[in-house]
Amino acid sequence: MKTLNPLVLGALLLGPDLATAQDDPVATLAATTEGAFDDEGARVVTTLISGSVSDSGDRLQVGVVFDIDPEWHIYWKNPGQTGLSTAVTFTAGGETSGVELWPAPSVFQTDDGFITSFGYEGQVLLSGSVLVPAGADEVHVTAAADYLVCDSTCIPGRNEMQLVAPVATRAESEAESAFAVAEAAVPVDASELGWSIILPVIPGPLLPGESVEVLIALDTGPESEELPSAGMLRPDEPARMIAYERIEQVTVEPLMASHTPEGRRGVLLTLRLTAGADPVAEDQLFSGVFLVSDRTTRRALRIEFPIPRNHTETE
Amino acid sequence: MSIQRFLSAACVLLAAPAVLHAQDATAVVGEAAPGFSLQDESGATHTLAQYEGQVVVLEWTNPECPYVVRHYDVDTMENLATTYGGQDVVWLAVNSSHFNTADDVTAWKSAEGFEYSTLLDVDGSVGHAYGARTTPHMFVVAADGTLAYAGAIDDNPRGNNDDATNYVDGAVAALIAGDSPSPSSTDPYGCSVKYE
Repeated sequence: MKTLNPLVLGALLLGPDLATAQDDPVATLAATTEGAFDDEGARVVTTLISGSVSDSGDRLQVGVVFDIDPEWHIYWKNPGQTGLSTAVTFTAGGETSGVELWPAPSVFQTDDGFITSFGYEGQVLLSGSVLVPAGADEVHVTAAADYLVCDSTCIPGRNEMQLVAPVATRAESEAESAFAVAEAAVPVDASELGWSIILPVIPGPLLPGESVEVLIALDTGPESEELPSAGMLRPDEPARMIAYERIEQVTVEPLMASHTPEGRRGVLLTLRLTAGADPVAEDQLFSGVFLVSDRTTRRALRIEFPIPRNHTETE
Repeated sequence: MSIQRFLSAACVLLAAPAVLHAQDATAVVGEAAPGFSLQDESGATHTLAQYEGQVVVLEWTNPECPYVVRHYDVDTMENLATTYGGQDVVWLAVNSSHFNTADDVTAWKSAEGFEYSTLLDVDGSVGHAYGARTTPHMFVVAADGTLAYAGAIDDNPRGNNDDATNYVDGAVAALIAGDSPSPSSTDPYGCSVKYE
């Protein structure tokens, strides 16, 4: 496929007339489509898949599998300091919805560490759900994926797909396992692993232009306890251990990562939060993913804590 | 060891001397903008100091980036530079791509038909000083040399917002009116700057 002329390929996938395709989406779109073309062909191939219906019977799990060329990556819901977040719009029965489950991203950095971004390489499934009309045994689903794929250059892509999905309590096994892999990669609370995360108690308030250093501690227990793999937790480069959602007027710098002190097992990460020139909104949260690894596994832990309130807002 | 004792132990560890991987000091809105001396595509030298008393817009650019191309296709930068050019506003593009050359910049300028100069920051030092991370990434320096705005050109990263707000337009207009830009910083979007 890589040798096909992109224009010809585009015509094959979208049909001879895009306007016709939009008027009658069932007619021409395929479940798999290619996008982000350069001289080497498509850099991203996407496939719309459906999973199982919810227990209540009114939602159907759907998702888009992104197959990304080696060395290239797309972006998480917060792309970081560069890039563009990936967006998927699912449409069924006149209702549109977006991505609900975001697998933990990888952290990408330029060689000099100056530019950090969050995203996915290889393969990732971004999933959501669509409404199932009462009594329906199949649902017409369309999906549009908007993304930016980058290696040393960047190509924006928009892939449109469609599928007639059966409403079943159990999807076909290939889709079932794809959803299971994606769900397993979604960040979890540390408590689900029997661990605890000690989040910063920030004395605050953070004034415009001020910085505060916060310490996030992952504690897996005393060393005497039998905790398979937890004792092997290792700190990587601090910048590679944290991904976070955008926070208006606050910049985040990972400063230091290390093991916990003697007698405990865990990992510490220090972040510096710096307020911008404009006031920081009162109700903002730091919402992120703490990425720690042991010899064989990378764990993605959900963390959230309030950003200190601005002085002028509290008085 | 209790959780509390663990945390206090952790804090002691934090306070101990350690290798910090702090990022390079970069430009901060509200403080003096980093000075520079760079040559443009014709070989002429530009310094920030020489434009004291004028508003200076710095536009990080890379003609190979699709986001830059999208804005040049609709003359976003050229229109603003022309609009404010008669009002004591200096518009300068800056190219920090390690592979950029005066010839390439001249060809791009001629193809796009804009008038302003492009500064060649091949070693990336000015880009690092400003914290330029994307193309486009916009910085607006007030007449007194204070960095007044840093961030995106607009709120339309996907190019599908028919009612987009151009932040640089707003920032420059505010400075001309004697006000402070609001917002003064936004998240830039686009390709990463291609530093060496």
